[in-house]
This record gives sequence, structure tokens and C-alpha cells, in this order.
Amino acid sequence: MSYDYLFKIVLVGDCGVGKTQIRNRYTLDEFNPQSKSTIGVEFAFKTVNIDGNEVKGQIWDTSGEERYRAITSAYYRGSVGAVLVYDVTKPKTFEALENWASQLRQYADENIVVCVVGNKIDLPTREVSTAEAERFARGNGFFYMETSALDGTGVESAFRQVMKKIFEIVDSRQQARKKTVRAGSIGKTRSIKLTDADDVAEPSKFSSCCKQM
Amino acid sequence: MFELDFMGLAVLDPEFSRPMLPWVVREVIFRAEPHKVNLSVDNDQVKFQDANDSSPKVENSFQSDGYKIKDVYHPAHEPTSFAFVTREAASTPCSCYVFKNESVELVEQIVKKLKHEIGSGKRKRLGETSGESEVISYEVLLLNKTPIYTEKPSQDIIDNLIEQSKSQSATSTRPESANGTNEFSVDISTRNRGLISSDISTGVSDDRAGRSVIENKRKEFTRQRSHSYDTSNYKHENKTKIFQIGIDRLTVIDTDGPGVIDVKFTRVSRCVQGVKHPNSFGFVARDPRKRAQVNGNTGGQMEFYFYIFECFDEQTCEDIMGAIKQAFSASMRPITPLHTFHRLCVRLNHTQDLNQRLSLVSGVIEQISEGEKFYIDQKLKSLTPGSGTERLVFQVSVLREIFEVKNREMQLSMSSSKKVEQNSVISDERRTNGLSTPVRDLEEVSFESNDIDSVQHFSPAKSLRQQIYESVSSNATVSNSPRPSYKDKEIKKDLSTPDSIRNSLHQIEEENALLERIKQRISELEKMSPEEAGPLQQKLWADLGLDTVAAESKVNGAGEGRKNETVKLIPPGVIHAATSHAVPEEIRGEVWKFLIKQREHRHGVKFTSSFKTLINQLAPPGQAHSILIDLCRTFPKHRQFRESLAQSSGQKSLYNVLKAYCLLDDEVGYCQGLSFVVGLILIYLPAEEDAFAVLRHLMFECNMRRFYMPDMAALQEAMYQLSRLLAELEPTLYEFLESHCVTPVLYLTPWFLTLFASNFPMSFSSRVLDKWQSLTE
Repeated sequence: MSYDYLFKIVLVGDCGVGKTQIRNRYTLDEFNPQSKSTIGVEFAFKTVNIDGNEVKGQIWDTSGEERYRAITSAYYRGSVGAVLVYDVTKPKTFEALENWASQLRQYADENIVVCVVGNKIDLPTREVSTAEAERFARGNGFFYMETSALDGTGVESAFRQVMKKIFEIVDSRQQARKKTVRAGSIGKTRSIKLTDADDVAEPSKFSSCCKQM
Repeated sequence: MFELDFMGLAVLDPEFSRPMLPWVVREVIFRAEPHKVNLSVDNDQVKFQDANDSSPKVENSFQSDGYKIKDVYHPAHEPTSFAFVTREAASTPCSCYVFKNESVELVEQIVKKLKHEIGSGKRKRLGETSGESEVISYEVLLLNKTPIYTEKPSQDIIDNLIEQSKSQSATSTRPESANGTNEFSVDISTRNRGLISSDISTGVSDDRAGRSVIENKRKEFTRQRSHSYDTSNYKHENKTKIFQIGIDRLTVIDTDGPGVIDVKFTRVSRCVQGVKHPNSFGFVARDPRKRAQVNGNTGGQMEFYFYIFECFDEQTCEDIMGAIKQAFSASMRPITPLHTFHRLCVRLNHTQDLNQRLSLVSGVIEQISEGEKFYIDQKLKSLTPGSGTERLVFQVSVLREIFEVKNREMQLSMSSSKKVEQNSVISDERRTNGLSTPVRDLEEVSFESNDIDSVQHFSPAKSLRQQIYESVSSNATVSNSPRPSYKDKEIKKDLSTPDSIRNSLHQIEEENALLERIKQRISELEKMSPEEAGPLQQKLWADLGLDTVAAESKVNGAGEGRKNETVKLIPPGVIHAATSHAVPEEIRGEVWKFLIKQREHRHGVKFTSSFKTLINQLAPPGQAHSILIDLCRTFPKHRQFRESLAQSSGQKSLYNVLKAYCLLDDEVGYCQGLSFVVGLILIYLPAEEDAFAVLRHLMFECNMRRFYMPDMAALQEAMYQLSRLLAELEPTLYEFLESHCVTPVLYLTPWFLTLFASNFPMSFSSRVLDKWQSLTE
């Protein structure tokens, strides 16, 4: 399938908060209670239409295992969006967000668009309040969404919000450049960086991040 | 663009359920004022507009992103109409838009398109089961289960029981002192019996108000007498258990057998944490069988049991108490008023008969308050006499209105009382089952307390390549962890005397002959078809000294069939040749054991800590937690592991082996990926102790543990090695992968950390395991 833009989005958060379920709900619209632990990283794609552009989201579903961080940091490079997941019934997974956020700051694009996602809202044993999580998200300049991968609530919106925001950033920069620099020279299929002004990258099937590894 | 009749919209409570939709659609159509509209569905956008009017009225136009549509409904009873439900945010009301068109095909086409656009289909709503299987698991020691005579023992029961047990073990048996306590407990039990008989005589055993009076009496009573339990026969059992907190129950699962203690919250009357022993907790559960006897007035003194547990540390104990409290208050949440309406709709949908439906509705109307009945009457009066169906639809619509209002009122009152509840120790009558621990103040969880220095834990921002290069070039970072020391008792060949020279020459000849024989057999086998070769492969292993007959007969055998005192030492080359050729599926487990035995015979037994002592210890809580959440995510479809901890032994074995390893090797502990390795071993060697031996061999002797070390340096080194090897040996493939930025970091982790088991067929992984074990020989 052809597309106009490719956005790399990482899914991060503690073990067992439901990252893989969110990914499956978003890309396949299914919830599989018999899913395996994610070892390393797994990929999924979904193309959506934003303002008339085909935008392909490349989802990097990472493992939550603490020990893999030495390796997972490599996954962050070049990602322009992140979905930071915690489990609303487990305060510890919420407390861990601070660590995950600092990982992102360290390894990902500095203007990365982040959405904090409180998952498992279908469970009755909720412990982390919406207000508390919103406060954290606001304080860090992140979006906040609540989801249930089980019944599908909020999953679509969380990704859409992230993709839309990235698109806006990219689009506004493109508009600015069109005015000042050469107009017609931008190839349509490209990978995206948010910081570097030099993102008129050559067409590539994978995001530019991988080039460095 | 589709031309349709827009029938109108209804605003729904966010907790609406699908069974309600037929009635909402009927209601909208009933009071419809149709407008012609144009509906378009594309680009993730759904919109419609008045067809005739160029300046549309607000209520007749609509535009939304597709993802805001929560449900699309095509009623079977009205195939020419359809509806979709939208919602802006999680807690805001929903809107149900209803449309009609004479062409059923057109309606079907639109519904299909809408469903595709929103990816609907599997949404769950009120009334269906949600994630109720979610349980939180902890590892604990069950110290004991002891009968007590009150459902609300005092706070110090744990400390008393533990100290009692200590003093008993210190002075073994002391009959005189035991007598004393016995006397005391007899006194209590007689008094208690008196109380229970009063319970019966007032005849209010099921009456809530009456019960609460008795409850208070009991509380008073227990305050007077703190020792309402018998400590004389109390002693610690010390058995590791998995303690699970479910949505409505506590479950205590044996790790060494099929035993399960399952206690519903309704049977739990108190839960306490030790004061002097804060790493211990316990709960009081009513014995359901004894309860029946009490009502029959026969010896009711042992109505309750106190289960006492010990945790790894105080923190774990507090976590458990918090989790119980959380689950407890969640299970106390009342059913919402809208649920009554949901149940009505479900029943209405089950019948087509108008009279039955009308009687169902009047049944519900019976139960509502007088004011609400009056409201319905008033509404009905405004209705011009119509058909029975119209009357029914109208009644249902008014009922929905009433229940939605009730639902909102209840939610408002709940959110306002929440704060108060959180700060007060549960005391109201509704929660006489409440826990006695201080309620944790949620506000305490704040970010200021978080570890700001935690950034330091992560490796400095060096390029990955550089890190790997350094680790490879210096060799120093490849951790040479302290391997368990052992005496290498490799047989040094004594060549001092002619006799011994002859002997060793003879030995070498024998070995060579064996190698020749094996090689010849292998080359014969390679010419055969797989069917022919099968049985002969076993013979190959029999030649090496593996008792294949015994091996096959005890596929599930935990114990040694016969004592193999005389292990024939096989040269590593021969073992390697045989393993490389084939390991028959039926005896694979035995071959693995054989490989270990050979190794031990050559180098001596290195490990002293036995599996049995390891599994009786508690693992560090963080590790135990990681293992527990991975159990159901390891080969989740394999028949050996798909059933839950409480149901079968598969996950239990997985837990025991992983936990034992984590205690044996505290440097590696548990790391994700290991569960697949252990799962793979257990499939061939179901006996936990055997599987543990293979894992230990694999990790220490075959040096697999370096991959799981906290810095993961060995794994990164392997990634680098693989990419170099690819470049050298498969340059075309290497170029292709590089051009698509597919580097080993994207795929190697699961391959190496699970022995390929998480991505490849079991038959492949088991071969990798065969080879890995023989390579080190």
C-alpha cells in the first residue's frame, strides 16, 4: 500500500500494562487473551488518512522488561511519536512513567509527540485517578487518554491524536520551507524527523533512525 | 453519498448496552419527523446534511471523525433502518442517530461501510463479562490455618500466634502450659455458643438490621476478650503458596500439588497485618460447612479459620494488603440502576409476544417509586390512544429516561462520597466485611517522591555500535561471573607404567571403535527414509549407554527407574556426532539427562543447593512478580501451559523451576525470555527437578547465562558478531537487510533469549537445545 508519510511510533511502559493488546486492538481490532510476552520488539502498521494524506504509522511495540533497556534504547532512535502506557489499576506502573519519559527524552527525537495512556479502564479495581494522570501528562507536555484494549475504548483516538499532532508539526514546517526554499523538490514518500531542519530525506522504506545502527 | 431519511436522534447514558438499542431505535422511529439527508462516509469522516436545505438546521446536520462512532446497529426487526452511536469522550453522554431507507441492500451497504470505517464489531458493553479473569498474584509462605471462635479477632492475633509458635518450638512440648490455654479457650467457646443461640432465637440470622446488632455485641465481646483463639496447638507449616487476589475472591494455591484454597470475599470477615511482625498477614474466613452446623445448633465453636501468611518483606505485605483492599472495595460497588433497564431489554428481546412484553414492563414499573409511577401515568395520558406496540415502546422509553436519571444521580453521589470513604476506616454497616488495615490515602502517591537520580541507572549515551565494539575489543566487559568452583576430576591419564600405557591404549582403541561404529550407523541412517530411521535412532543412543527402554517407559517418570551407578564415559566427539545426527522425539528428555550425567561424570557435581530446598524459599518480590505475570504469557496456546495456575500443574512447574533458578543465581535472577526456555524443557521433561537440572546445565555449563546478565553485553556482542558473519558469509542477504535497515537488534533478542522458542516451531527450538548442550562437551 502506498503512503505519503511514515511515522515511527514507539509503545513503551512497564511489563503487563497491555502494550501488545493496545497494538493489536489498534492495528487488527482484536483482543487476544492468549498473547505471549514481548521479547525485544515487535512491529505493526496502520495507515490512516489525515487531511487527505495517507499516513502510515509504524508501531514499535517494545518489551517492558527492565533489563532490556540496554537494547531498547536503540528502538527509540528516530521515533517521532510515543505512546506511554500504564495500568490504571496498578499505581506502580504509573509511578514508572517518569523513568520511561526520561528514557524517551534521552534517546528519542527531542520534539517527540507523547501520549500517556491509562489502560484497563474496564476493570473495576481502578487506583490511579484521571486527575492525577492528567496532571502528570500536562506537566510534561504530553497528551492524556484512557483506554481499554479489551473493549476498544480510546485506543483509536490515542493514536490518531499523536499522528495528527506529528502531521501538524511536519506540515507547518513544510509550509514554511515551501515559502523560503525550493518548492517542488520534496519527494512525497519520506521518513520524518521533527527537530532537524534537514529532514528532506531521500525516499526510504524505513525511518531514518535505523541508518545509524 | 447516500440519500436517506434521518429519523432523529436519542441521547443515551454512556453506560448504554446493546440490548437497549432495538428499543431506542423503536422509540426514535415512533416519534420521528423524517428529513431527507445526504450521508457520506469516507476518509475517516462521517457526515450528513439536509438534502433540500442549503442552509441546514443544526440538528439535521452532523460531522464527526469516524473513531468517535462507538457502535453501528442494524436492527433485525426493522431491516430498512439503521443507527449509529457516537461519543465525544469516555464519560459524556452518547447520541444515537437513526436513519431509514426503503432499500435493504442500500442500508446493508452503508452499515458495512460504517463498520469498516470504525472497525467495530467486537466492542463489549455493560452486561457482558469484562476482564474478570484479571488476578494479582504474590508468593507467600502459608504459616498455618487455625480455627478461631470469632470473626473479628483483635489486631494482635498475628503477633500472638507467631510468638506462641516460637516459644513452643523453643521448649518443644509443655503440657502444663497447653492445659492453661485450653481452659481459657473452652471458656470462650461456651460463651460464644451462647451468643450464637441468641442469634437463632431472635430469628434474625438473615435480617441485616438484626445482624448488625449481633455484630456489635460480638465486637464488644471480642474487645473484652482478646484471646478468642486457641494457640495451644499452633505451629508453623512453612509452605510456599501462590496467593491470588481476584475480583471477588482470595485464592491460595499449592506450589507442590493440586491443592487450592478458594475463599470468596463474602466469607472473609477480617484481614490483618502483624504489628510486631509486619511481614506477616492473615485473614479470617467463615467455614461454610461449619456454618450449616451452627444453624442446626450442633457444636458451633469452630466457625472460623484464621489463615496466617508470611511475605518476603514488609513492603510486599503492605502491597498485598493494599491489593486486597482495592479488590474488596471494587467488589462492593453496587450494581448501577441502569443495569435494571439493561436486564429488562434483554428479556424483552427474548420474546416476540406483545402481552408477555407488556407484563415484563409492568413488572418493572411495579418496583419503582410512587413518584416515578405517577410520572409514567402522566406521560401516558399525553399519549393519544394507539396500538399496544406503540404503548409498549412509549413505556420503555419513559423507563429508560427514569433509569438514566437514577444512574446519573447515583454516580454524582458516589463521586462526592468517594473522598470521605477514602479517609475513613470502613465502618458503615454495608461494609461489615471491611478490612481493618488503615485505608491507604491515594493522595500519597505523588511524583515528587520519585527518584530523580534514576536517570543515572541508564547507560551513557554512547553509540550502540561503539558500545558493542568496546565490549568485543576489550573482552573485559564480557562478564566473567563467578562460576561455581569445582574440582576438575578429569581423568588424568597415568602413563608411568607399561601396564597403564597398555590400559590407556586399550581405552583409546575402544573409544575409536565406538566412534567408528556410531559414525557408520549414522551414515547408514542418513540413507534411510525418516520412517525407517526412527526406531534405529533410538538404538544409536542405546549403543552409547542410554537405557532407552527405561527412558521410554518413564516418559513422565520423576524418579530414577534404576540406579545407574556405572555411567560409561563417552568421548565428547561421539556424543556430539550422535546429537548432531538426531535426537528422537520420544527420548529427547532422557537424552538431555544423559548429557548432563556424562558431563557430571567427567567434571564432578558442582551444585550443592538442592531443588527441594530452593522451592521452599521465598523469591525476592520483584522477581516473583515478573515470573508470575509471565506464566500465562508463555506458550499460551500449548496444552501444557494454557490452563491457569489454580487449574493445572503446567504453569506451576514453570513457576517452580523459574523461581528455584532465580534463587540459585541471584546475579541473573529472572529475565524475560527464560520462561520460554524452561517451558521448552518442561515439554520434554515434565518432572520439575529434571527440568531444573537441564536449565542449570544450560545456563552454567553451556554458558547461556551470560546473555541474561543485567547489562546485556553478551547479547549485544552476539548481535555484532551476527552482522559481521552475515556480511562475510551471506553478503547479498546482508546488503539486502542493511538497505532496509533490518539489523540484528530488531530480531536477535527473542531468538537468543528464548532459544528461538517464541518465534519458531517447537521442533526447531528443541534441536537448538540439543546442539547447544552437546557443543560444550
